[in-house]
Amino acid sequence: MKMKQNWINFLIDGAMFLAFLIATAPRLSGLTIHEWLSLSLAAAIITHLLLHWTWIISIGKRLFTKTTWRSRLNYLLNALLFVSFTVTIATGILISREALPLLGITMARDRTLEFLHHQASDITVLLLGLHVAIHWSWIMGMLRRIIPVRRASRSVAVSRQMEGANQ
Amino acid sequence: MKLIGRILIILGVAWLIVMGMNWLRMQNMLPINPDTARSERFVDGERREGFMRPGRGFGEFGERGERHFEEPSLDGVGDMLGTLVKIGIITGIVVIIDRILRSTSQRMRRSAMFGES
Ligand code: HEM
Ligand code: HEM
Repeated sequence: MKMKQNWINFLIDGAMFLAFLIATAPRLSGLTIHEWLSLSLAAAIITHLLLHWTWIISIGKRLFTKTTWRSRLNYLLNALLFVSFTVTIATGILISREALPLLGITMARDRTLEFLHHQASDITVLLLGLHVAIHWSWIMGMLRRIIPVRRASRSVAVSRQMEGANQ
Repeated sequence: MKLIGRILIILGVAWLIVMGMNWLRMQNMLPINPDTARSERFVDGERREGFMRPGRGFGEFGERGERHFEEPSLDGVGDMLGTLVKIGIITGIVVIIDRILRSTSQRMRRSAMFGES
């Protein structure tokens, strides 16, 4: 993958991570910001998936044939992450008190949905931790390019790693 | 065209997931239902009727008073830090396990982390 693409991904991933952190603290942001920020996070996730489309297709194709167990595990993890994000955001939209009423839609309050929204967001935190962990070396590699390290040998190793990693 | 198609696929899959969730909810197959949800979090029996009144107005949301975070408040900064710590701990544990596995593994193919077989 080209370096420029890596930077685009890095920026988007960083923004998503920040947005997610804020989304898990509605008390901090207030409900209005919570809802609109999370909705834009949903749009960012779609972008994130579009940018990794070749990975999704190519690994998906050989999921049951020729690939490593790590790769399968990662695929499963990404699938679960997608499910939990979808449930969190969908239940969020359904219990919305700021964004949806603006469109003229109000719904009866549903405790199950509210509870589901909390549970799903907790699970998402867990899965996102795993997602970040799996890409840790990529993230560190990118960070090292921003924060210069003294040892020259290290940055050479990092740039080699960047050429090889991710597809 | 290709882009729109892909976006539609993503949204379509998301839609199926939501339908699935809703189906489970209707079948009462989720571990939670209004009763458990109420007992776990919403012990407010007396005012309940008021909440569930159909056609309630917009303004009534504000006075429900269970937990209100309509206004931004620095009190919530702990929630955010909590998330950061949780993600940090999970990431840390997995990265350490990964290091150990790698150092004991015979074939140390570094960049073949994921994606490449
Ligand atoms: C706040 C949310 C998220 C953050 C911070 C995040 C971060 C990252 C990072 C750092 C990478 C690797 C670097 C790159 O090439 O971009 C990555 C890859 C990837 N992410 Fe995410 N991600 C998030 C949400 C999601 C969600 C919801 C999905 C849905 C399934 C997802 C699916 C993927 C896929 C398929 C890849 C590439 C394949 C792989 O190597 O795993 N991500 N993400
Ligand atoms: C990644 C996405 C999201 C995450 C991680 C998330 C997380 C949370 C959390 C943790 C709470 C509970 C706050 C507390 O009890 O202290 C909450 C409440 C809430 N969220 Fe979200 N949320 C997300 C998306 C959304 C979206 C898209 C909407 C609406 C458009 C939404 C609407 C709400 C509402 C209305 C509440 C208040 C519910 C109540 O009073 O119990 N959320 N969210």
